[in-house]
Amino acid sequence: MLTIRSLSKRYGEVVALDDASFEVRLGRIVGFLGPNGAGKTTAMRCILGLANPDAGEISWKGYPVEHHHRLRFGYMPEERGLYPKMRVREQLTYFGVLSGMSRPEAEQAADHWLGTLGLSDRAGARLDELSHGNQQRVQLATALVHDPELLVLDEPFSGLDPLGIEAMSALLVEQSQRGVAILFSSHQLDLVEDICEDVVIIDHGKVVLDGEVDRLRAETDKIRLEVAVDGEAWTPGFDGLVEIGTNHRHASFLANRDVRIEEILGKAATEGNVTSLSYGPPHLSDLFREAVGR
Amino acid sequence: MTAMRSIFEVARRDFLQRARNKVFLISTVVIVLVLLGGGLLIASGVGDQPTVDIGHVGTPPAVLPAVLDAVADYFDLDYELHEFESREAAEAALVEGDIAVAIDGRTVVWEQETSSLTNALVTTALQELERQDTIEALGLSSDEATQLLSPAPPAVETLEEPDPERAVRQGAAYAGTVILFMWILVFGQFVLLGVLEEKSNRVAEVVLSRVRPIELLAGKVIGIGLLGLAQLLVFATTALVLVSMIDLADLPNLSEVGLTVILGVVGWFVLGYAFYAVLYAAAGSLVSRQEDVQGVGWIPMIGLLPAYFLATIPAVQNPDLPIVKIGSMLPALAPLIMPARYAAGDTALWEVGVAILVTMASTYLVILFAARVYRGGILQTGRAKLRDAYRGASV
Repeated sequence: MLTIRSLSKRYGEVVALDDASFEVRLGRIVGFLGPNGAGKTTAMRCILGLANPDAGEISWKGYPVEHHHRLRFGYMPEERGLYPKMRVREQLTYFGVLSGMSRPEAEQAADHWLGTLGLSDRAGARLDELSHGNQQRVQLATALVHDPELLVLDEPFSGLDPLGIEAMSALLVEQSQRGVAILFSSHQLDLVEDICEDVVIIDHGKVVLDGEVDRLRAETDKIRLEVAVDGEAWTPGFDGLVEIGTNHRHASFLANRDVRIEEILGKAATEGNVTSLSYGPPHLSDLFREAVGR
Repeated sequence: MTAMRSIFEVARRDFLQRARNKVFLISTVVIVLVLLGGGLLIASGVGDQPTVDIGHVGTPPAVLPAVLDAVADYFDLDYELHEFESREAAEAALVEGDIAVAIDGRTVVWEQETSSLTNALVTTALQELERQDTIEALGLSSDEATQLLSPAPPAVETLEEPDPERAVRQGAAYAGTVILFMWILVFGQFVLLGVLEEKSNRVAEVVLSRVRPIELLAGKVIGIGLLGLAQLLVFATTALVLVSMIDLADLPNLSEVGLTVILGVVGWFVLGYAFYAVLYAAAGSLVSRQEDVQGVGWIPMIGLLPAYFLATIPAVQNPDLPIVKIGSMLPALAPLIMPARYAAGDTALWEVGVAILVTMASTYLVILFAARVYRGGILQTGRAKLRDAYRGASV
């Protein structure tokens, strides 16, 4: 388990992390959410030893993280980067070896991941000869080649097409089932909701919400309500209902858990035919919006 | 993963990636070929004196060959004398190019242009004949003639022992200094560009999540340095082979001088490169775009350029100047000045020892400084200020 405790980091006047604490358990996928500049990348860089926190502790399986632990971590930075002129297989082998594998082990692992990611026929190509999508795959393989116990992925889904997203999701789920702890940041909240069991939401360097997605959705005192009258969005105009979005099918609201649905339905019925009314726990995006207060 | 293995693996990659680069390979081969070709040309030319074909109308006077021999020897020429029955036959041979010049009695006949050396040969020879005729006409005895024509040379006293190798040593020291400077500069800039490459395409983060910054720095400097050393050794071996083939009677110690200079260049490349390459690495870590290289590339030049100018002119020509003696034992300057001074003149071994120790100690200090700047700079996005990088403001 990766444990982050009271992590703080400033760059001059800018507070990047402010007493942030959270955990990533083995075999769990943790979605790391927050607006741009919230401190996600800084936290990840601290985990990988690329930034020195001003205060706080990072521990892995109960021990303060040291260099030899980090060799068991896999990292995919937000700004992708590999050696453009180096051949793909050589590159993967190199990173495997730098993570402590023997050369034959690293070559075997490189071949395995090139096969898994459908890049076997490009093994001898230089990285800059590959398409953007294939370069992304090599970047992912770089994070996986040494069979890490913790994966830290900064925006792994950005720039992927729907098929790429599907493949990446499946791969993350498979890795978590093998017991790998995964922390990844993303702005695609529906995606996070689909594949993550846990989330950590961070804003202005502070963790504003964290825990299991299902529990957070169940424990909130809000419900999500969607109403349409005569096939169009309808606004009830009740106190305590906060409109969170309207599209051509219905209007969406967050309401307190004790809101009386019958009253809303009754009022809607006086306006026309109620063509749709649904309510239930809020979506992750609703929790996110609430947590960051915007 | 031990630090040694990380450094080895980084060095291995940096060495192999560049060694397999086509431009690097081709330029190395071309330079070896040019060296060999030029050397062989010199080697085949040395010892072969040009032969001048001289025509003579009628039977030459008995003394002419003796006089020609003496003069040709003086001018370091070989000649062959051809006899022609008539002026016409000699002229025809001139036009054909069979002979360079013809002698008809006391007249020198050219086709068109005169070669100054051949002209000197025949003119001096004919004047000598003239002089002998005059001596005979004056009725001087041979002793008197000898006294008149060959007065005793003045006594010569030199305050210092002449050094016949001096010119060779100076030339070799100069060439060695230029090569040393170029190698430190070129491979230092390889380090700068290598660091910049890793920073600009952001692979540094991926690498540094696995190896410590000091290991990446050391591996890069060592890998590129070994490549420079390997290329230098290839050229040095070529040069040594050539030097051993060129056999100059006047310069019996050319091989020895060549070996001294080459060993000096190779040894001081290791020391000088270590000093400057870490500075180049620190400079490279401050920028993240190719366009900004000039903004930091001057940092190592502060030491490298004065060292070069002091080494190429004063140190080679006048190794005993105080500025040269002092400079050859100062940090940053010693790697270029000491080998030049050593090759060009007499330098005590203890002075070389001091220069080596000073360079090693100063390299250690430079590494402490540069590694800190590098660690701060390599992970900072964009152009980093030296002070911020040193303080590690972005990590």
